[in-house]
Parts: sequence; structure tokens; C-alpha cells
Amino acid sequence: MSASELRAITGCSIEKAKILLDIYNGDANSAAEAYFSGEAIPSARSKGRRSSKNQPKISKIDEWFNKYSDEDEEMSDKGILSFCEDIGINPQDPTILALAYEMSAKEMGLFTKDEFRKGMVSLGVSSCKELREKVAYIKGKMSDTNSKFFKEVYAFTFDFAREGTLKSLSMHDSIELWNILLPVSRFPLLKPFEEFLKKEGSVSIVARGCSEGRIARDLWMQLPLFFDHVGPDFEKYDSADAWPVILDDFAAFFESNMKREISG
Amino acid sequence: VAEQREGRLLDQDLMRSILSMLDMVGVDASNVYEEEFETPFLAETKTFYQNESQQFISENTCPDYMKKVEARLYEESLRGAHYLHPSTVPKLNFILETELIENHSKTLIEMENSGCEHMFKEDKHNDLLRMYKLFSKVPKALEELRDAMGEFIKKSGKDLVAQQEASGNKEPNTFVQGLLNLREKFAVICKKAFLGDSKAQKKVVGAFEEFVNVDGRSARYLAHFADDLLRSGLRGMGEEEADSQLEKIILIFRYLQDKDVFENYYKIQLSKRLLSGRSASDECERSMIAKLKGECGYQFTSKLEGMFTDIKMSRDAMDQYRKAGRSKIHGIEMEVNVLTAGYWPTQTVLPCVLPDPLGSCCSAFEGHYLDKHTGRKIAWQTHMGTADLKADFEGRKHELNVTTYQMCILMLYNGADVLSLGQIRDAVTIPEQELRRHLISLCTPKHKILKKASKGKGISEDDTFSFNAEYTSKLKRVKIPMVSAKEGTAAELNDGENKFALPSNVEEDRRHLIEASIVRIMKTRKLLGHNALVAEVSRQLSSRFFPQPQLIKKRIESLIEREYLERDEADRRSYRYLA
Repeated sequence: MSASELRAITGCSIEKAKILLDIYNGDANSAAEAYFSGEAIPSARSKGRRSSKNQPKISKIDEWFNKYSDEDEEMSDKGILSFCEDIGINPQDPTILALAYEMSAKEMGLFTKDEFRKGMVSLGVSSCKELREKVAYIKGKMSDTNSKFFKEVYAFTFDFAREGTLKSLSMHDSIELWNILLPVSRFPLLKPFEEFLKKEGSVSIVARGCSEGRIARDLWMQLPLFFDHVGPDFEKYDSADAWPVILDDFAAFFESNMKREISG
Repeated sequence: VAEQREGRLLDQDLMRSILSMLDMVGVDASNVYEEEFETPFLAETKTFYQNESQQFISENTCPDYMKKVEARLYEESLRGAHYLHPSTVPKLNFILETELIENHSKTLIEMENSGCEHMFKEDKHNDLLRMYKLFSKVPKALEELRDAMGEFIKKSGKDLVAQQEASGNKEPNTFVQGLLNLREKFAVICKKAFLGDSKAQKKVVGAFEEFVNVDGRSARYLAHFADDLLRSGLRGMGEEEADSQLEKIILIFRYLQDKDVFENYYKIQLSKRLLSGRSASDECERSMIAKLKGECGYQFTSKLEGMFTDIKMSRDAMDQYRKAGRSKIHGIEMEVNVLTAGYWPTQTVLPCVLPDPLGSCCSAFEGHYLDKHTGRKIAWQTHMGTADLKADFEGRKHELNVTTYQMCILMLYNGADVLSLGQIRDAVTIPEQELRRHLISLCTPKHKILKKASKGKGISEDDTFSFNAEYTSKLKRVKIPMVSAKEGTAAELNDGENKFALPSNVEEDRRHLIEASIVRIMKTRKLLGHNALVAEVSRQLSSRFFPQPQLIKKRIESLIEREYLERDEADRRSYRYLA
């Protein structure tokens, strides 16, 4: 294993990784374990993320991973489902996205061994039981949509969900993800927005000169800000503001629909 | 005083002395004059005029009312001069202005059959002048008057546009002349009735700009007017007269906001004129372009000038080609115009197979040209161009002037008398719609060069066309006209709501121009707020057209997606240039 791979697992700097590999003669497993057990390493400074009691053992994590992995040593749909069951979350829970974020997972619906390791290590857990205990904590962090953590997971999700070289998300996928990530209580405009997208979204988007009905990153990133800024009734909306055009179209849609509801 | 107003005489001197006495009596702080005389006087004046004006206005026309007001004002000024205390005069005037003018200004303006609309229509300069003078005393009323003028102009203008549309744009001259007349009318009104008031003049310009720019129709009609003039209207005119006609175009052109729409049509029409040699006078063409250049700068006209250069160079090249004895091959005399692609209106060329002898003429020319200009590429524009064919009918010979495609079709009949649609299609390879259009043009009742086997207007898939040896015509040389295409102009007018849609190349050009402008600005500024960016882009493009803020926004988004720009992390309303 190379220094950069070791680094990916442990999250330490490349220099430390090189030093560790050196000490352990290229045996990355031992090197990683040593790192986590806090053994004295020349010029190493532990970031102190892990408590000295609970050192995640790489070997334990790997064993755990193997329970869900398939022939290619990867965790795919079925495995992920089982995994979710075992830790007590349903697959529509934003927690799974937070986990993917911690893993820096590249592709949706697929976790590699390395990614899994990195994620569990970063969370400081090496077994199902430990992770289950942490789930509530993660859920809490995700429900605070103002937190840095939430924002990072949200931003990460866009790239995570993208397919291959496409730079945008399908409307269908976007709506699903928004429903997972954005709690309706805090974002009451989400449902009207969905309605708008389904009714007129693709027209609006095509009119922008983009490919049919796809969501660009700019829109993805701006949406929660927009909802926050504008308020549940669009009171603070200003059409001369710098929102993406599709949101201006949404505002117009909302107004004509709102009026209909009042009179109808 | 009331009595005097009612028309009875009064001893003015006596009044004066009484009043000055009252004034002098006020030694202590209490002003006897004011209390005893002025205040009740003013109150009574107010009531008096309130009543009088109400009554008068309800019974009389606007001009008559104004005359009465004039008279009353004069009367009161005399009164003021003769026996009222000077301090009373301004207060009196204020009451007069309020009661007589301000309170009724709207009524006066809007009065049916005698109010402003009538006065504008009938050029009642004197009445308008009186109104202007009266209203000058009350700025608010004056503003209302100006607004009324603006509204009248806008309405008249919109009517003109609608009329033109209803008539199917048959006589663009009517439209432009109508506009010019309107303009002249109000120039006179401003001068005579409004004493050259600059705010009024601005209002006029503003009103014109408003209705002219509702959509691109005015631009289109203006371009047609220009085309008419330059094609035939200016023929035989003296230099001065021709110039004044062209000036008319410029006068209206100045009101246009979307000058690029005008340019688009002008370019297309110019190309037709140049290529068909249908221009009344080269000098006039140049003069028009010079005027446009004066208005909009070099960039606006550079392509147009390029078109002229191309024609001239083509003529020279053809002369040379002819002198070298190369232009007549296989008995075919050919004339070629070489056009620089960037200058001329773009059109997609449909494929077509040229008949053999013509094909070799083309190759010969191509060879000759590319020898002289290595590194260039030539594409034959077969959708343009005409051919003169010598045709032998039963005993009669005629010369037919046809389009290139028509020629391709007809030449097939040198080898056969009857051909099916399929055979023609295969031999000529012109796309279906154009093929049908051309075939129809060759078998219309008036010009039945070919006989269509099936009855009725349409062409069926297994139709056949036979050469009509019995064709006759009174003329020796016959031009076979094309059946009109239903697309083109109709596509631009969305008759459902009578809305004018921009021609597609104008739209495309605008998109590119806006993006180029955004990139240019952001490259220099590196970081710029949304509103500032929009304002700057509008400013840069204002001489060509007015970019809608929403359109600019869309282009910004497109550039964000293509990673030319990004939103600033700290401020979502600002953009950063990505190198």
C-alpha cells in the first residue's frame, strides 16, 4: 500500500504516512493500527479526534465490511440496505448521506473498502454497535440545517449523486434527495417547488438553454439559501435579486397558484 | 368687491384709501387690515370662484372656460394693482390658481370633444397655448398636460402600428409617413403651443420611443420602407430630395431601441438587392450606410460595407474571367458572385445535384478562383441564383428565367418526357419541401411548363410530371415565379396574440453578444455584484439593443455552468471570474 492510500484511511498527513510506512516496513495495517493506538510516532501530532479508549481497529472494520461486501470487495445496493438495517436507519434517512460524506464516497450506491474504512475511522467506530450509538448524534447534526456539517454534506451530495461525467442531476434524483435532506418543517416551500418542477420545470429549464429537465449545481446550492431568504410566503422575495432564473419562474408560479388557492 | 366682480362699478380710489387706512390703523400687533378685510376677503374670494368655476366648467367647453379664466385673472390683477394691499396679491393669486386652474385641470384635459385630445387632433394651437400659459402657474397641472400629450402620442402611434399590421404591411410607406407626420405635428405643437418647453419635448421623444419599441414590428416596417426606397423609390430623384428621404428613415431609426432587429432585416434586403442587381442607385445605398454609420458607429455597418466590397470584387473577377475567355464553357455563359461568408446573412444550403454541363462550369470557376486565392473554401449557394433556359416548345421557342433548383428539375427533361416524383427526387436530391414547392411553381396554370398527372393542388407520392410541349406565352422571355413559402414572415408574427417574435438569428446574436460582454467585463473586474454587472452589460450593448435583465441572468447562469464564472463564497450576489 502506498503512503497516499494510508493517508486516505487514517486521515493523517502525507509525511506522517511515509514515516509510518517506513517504520512498519510497508505494512499498512499495522501502521494504521499504530497510528490509531496513539503510539509515539516521530514528529507526529495526533489530532485528538479519537478518544484514547476507543481506537478503531482496522482489522475489525475490514471484517465488518466483509459482512456486506460482494465478490468485487465492494458494498453495493443489497449490502448497503443490510448495513442500514443493522445500524437502525432507513435508507431514506439523511444519515446515510452523512456517512457517505465521512467516507468521501465517490459514487452513490457503492462503497469501497477504502471508503468504508475511512468513514468508520473518521467517526471513531469499528463495529455495528458503536455506529448504532452514534447514529442519533449524526441525525442531530444533520437536522441542524444551519450547521457547517449539514452544509458540507449537502454540497457533497450533489457530486456524490452525479452520474459519471454528467455535470447535472436529473430532476427525479434531485427531488428525491431534497426530500431526504431538507426537512419539510423547516422548508415548507419544498413541496410547492416540487410541484412547480413537475409541471413547468423542464420547460423553464429548457428555456434556459440547458439540457432537458436537469438540475445544475448552482441551483442545487442556491435552493436552501433561497428558501431561507424568501420566507414561507415569499415575503422577502425580490425579482431583481441574483437568484437563478428558474427560481424567479418558481416565484411567478407560486404567486399565480397561491392566488388560485385563495379564490378557488 | 363681490359686487365689482359681479360686474358693477366701484370707486377704486375710494377703495384704495379705505384699505390703506385700514392698514395704517394696525399699529399694535393686531393687524386690522388683515383681520377686518383680508381674511374675509380671501375666504369670500375662494368661495366665489369655487362656485363660479364649478358652474362654468359644467356648462362650457374647455377653450371657453380657459378664456373666462384668463379674463378673471386679468380682472383680479387689475384689482390688485388698483386698490389691494401688495401683500394680499400673492395670496389672492394662489387662491385663484387653485380654484380656477388646479382643481379643474384634470377635467379640462379630459373634457370630451373640447379637451386635450380634441385640441391635439385638430391642432388647436391657440387653445393649447392658452392652456399652457395658464397651467404654467400650477406645475402639477402642467405635468398633467404633458402626460396627456404623451398618452395621446402613444395611442396614435400604437394605432399606426396596428393599422400597418392589419394591412399586412403592404405599404410600408404609409406607416413611416404616418410616424413622420405625427412627429412633425408635435414638433409644431411644442414650438407654438408649449413655447419650446424642453420637458414637453422630452415627453414627446419618450412617448415615441415607448410605442415604437413595444416590439420589433416598427423596426421591420421601417426596414421595408428603406428597402422600397432603395429598390425603386429613389429612382430618378435629385440628390437633395433623395437625401431628405433617407433622412426620414434615420429620424425614426433614432427612436428604435432594438436596432439589431432593423439591421437584421436591412441586411437580408440589402443582400437581395445587391445580388439581383435591383438597387435604384449605388450612391443612395452608400449614403444610407454612411448615415447608419453616423448613428451607430463602424461596427454596425462594417458587414454591410463588406457586402458592397464583395459585389465589386466579384464584378472585377468576372471581368477578368471573361477576358480570359473562360466564362463560356459548353455553351453556357456563367456569372458568379463570390461572397465572404461572414458578411452576408447566413442560410443553410440545401444539397442539390447540378446538371452536368453546369457542374463542369462550376468546377472550372472554382479551380480558377482557388488558384488565385489559396487556402480558401468555396461553397456553392444553390438556393440562390437564377438561370436563363432556352426552351423549345411545339414550334415556339421561349427563354425561361428560373431559379437554380427549377433549372435542375427542368434540365432532367432533356433526357425524358415524363418523370415521376421519385425519379426527380433521386436525380436532383433537393429536400422534400423545397422540391415540392419548386415542382408546384412549374405547373401552375399560368406557367404550365410541366403537366402534373394528379388532379388537385397537392403532389402525391406516385405523381408524375410530363413536359408540356403545348405551353404558350405571349412573352418571348418568361420569368417563372416561385410559389411563396408560408414560413418566414408568418413565423415571426404569432397571430394568437399578435405578438412579434424576434427573428432567430437576432436572438442568437444577442445571446452571444451578452455572453461576450459579460466575459469582457468580468475579466477586467474579477469580482462584481449582480446588479452592477447587469447595469454594465446593458450599458455596453445599449447602442444595439436593450438586453432584458432576465436574459442577462440566464447567460450568467450558463456561464456559471460552463465554469467561466462562479458565485462568490461570501456573497451569493456577486460573481467571480474564473481564469
